[in-house]
Amino acid sequence: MKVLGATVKQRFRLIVCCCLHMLAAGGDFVRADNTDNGYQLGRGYALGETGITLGGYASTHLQALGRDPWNWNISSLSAFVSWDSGSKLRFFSETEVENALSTNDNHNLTTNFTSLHIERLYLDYLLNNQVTIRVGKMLTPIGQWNQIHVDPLVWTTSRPVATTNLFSNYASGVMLQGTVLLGKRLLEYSVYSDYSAVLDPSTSRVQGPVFDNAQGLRLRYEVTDTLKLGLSYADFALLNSTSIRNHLLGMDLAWSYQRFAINSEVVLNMKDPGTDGRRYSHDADELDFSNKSATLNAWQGYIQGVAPLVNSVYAVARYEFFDQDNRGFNPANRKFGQAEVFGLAYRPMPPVVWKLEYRLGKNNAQLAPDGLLASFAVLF
Amino acid sequence: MSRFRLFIMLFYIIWLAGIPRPGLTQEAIAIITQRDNTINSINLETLKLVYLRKLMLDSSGNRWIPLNLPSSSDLRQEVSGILFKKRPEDMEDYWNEQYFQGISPPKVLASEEAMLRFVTITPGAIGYVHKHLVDNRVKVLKIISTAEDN
Repeated sequence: MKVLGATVKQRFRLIVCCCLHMLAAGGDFVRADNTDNGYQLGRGYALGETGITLGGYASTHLQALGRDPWNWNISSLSAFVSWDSGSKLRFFSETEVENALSTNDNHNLTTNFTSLHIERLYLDYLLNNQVTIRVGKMLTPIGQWNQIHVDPLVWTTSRPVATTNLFSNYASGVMLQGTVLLGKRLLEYSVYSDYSAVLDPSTSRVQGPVFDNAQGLRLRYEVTDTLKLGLSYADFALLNSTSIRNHLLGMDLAWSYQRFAINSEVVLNMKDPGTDGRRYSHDADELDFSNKSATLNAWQGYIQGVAPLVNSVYAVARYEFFDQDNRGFNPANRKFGQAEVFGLAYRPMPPVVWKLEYRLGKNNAQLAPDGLLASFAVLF
Repeated sequence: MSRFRLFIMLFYIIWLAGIPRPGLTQEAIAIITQRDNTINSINLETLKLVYLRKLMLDSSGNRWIPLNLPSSSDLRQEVSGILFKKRPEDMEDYWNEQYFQGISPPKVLASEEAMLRFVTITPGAIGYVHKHLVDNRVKVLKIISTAEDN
């Protein structure tokens, strides 16, 4: 009986084992029957066959910086509307509610800081495979961060100073862009002309530098499957200092291999006061261009590395440097600033990211103060 | 070995032999488009750009409509490896960035037969099926043999 009992057990075990393996392998067939065309996080919702897709992203920040009290906010609630019916014409818009809800200095919830912006609004016309004409408000094609700057797509809650401090993040006007093959590698280009002062009525409400007018060019070359190099140039005047021409040159690098990544950008901004060498004023500060070597050029840049730790957790480290030659700064206080960021990012799936980081530095109190930042963001 | 165990093992081996395994497809892949399309061939570099949505128009100036199978499909995995040297899952970051620019990834169809039917009736559609499934409903632009991708 004992022998017989053992045989029955072994048979039962064998059958169960086979059935489990069959079920496991059969799961592939079940999944293969599904299509990927239903709603998917990070892809938006397609309205039938209209060509219209609705989507957006949301992010919330918690930060304790410098001597300020800690602050929490729903930093962005953004809606995308795109239209692409298969013709040569396409439309895209992004409307954002900034600080929909936040805490004030007493840690009470408030909507006092809430604002509504049209971040992007443009029409694309595909002239041919090498040239697309874009008309409207768009992200300024300088460097890589500014063009994918939203929280779900970047690795840190804080933004490098070099990607936002010297130039306008948005341009309104006309842009020619496209992709051409150089050998067997891709060269992407953008050439644009901005008329924000005329075309964008919202410029007066935007914080940070805003173009009055600008012309620029960006090139990005795919050197290998893992390495891309970029070059940007812009000639512009900013609102409130329209007599000063700025010549900005930028270089950037993006390297990625499997789940490792290194990104870097460096920008050099050269102010041209014109032939009369006159002073200009902004608020209460004045920049004196008679001492050109001290005030005309500003270097800023960063290098950032990302490495996988376990599963979907990544370690992020960044070094930043920045000349603080910005509007509103007293030249007497200008110092070369530096900041380091150390953080973790948890991406359970690509459109969702949790981030935690600590930033510290030197001469960084104005542009990138020491402190702790955390955020959650989702692309939907 | 008892006859029962032998029977179970034989059944299991036969059943396993019938399961297609990822990455083990040996059959050539046909890149297909509508019969009326004036294009007669396409190279892998151009195909890659079409599937990355970097190349939007065919040589007649009509929009390309690239098609994919579900990401769990062995054939999709194989095509993704040939074109991008990446699995479909590893392209997610790229498509998230494109989505932020208002560009959607290729449309996904449930099966190779669905791919054939969609291509048959849709100008500009471009897709892929196993070579043996190709019939006179579609035009073949390229045959990718396993020797070519390896």
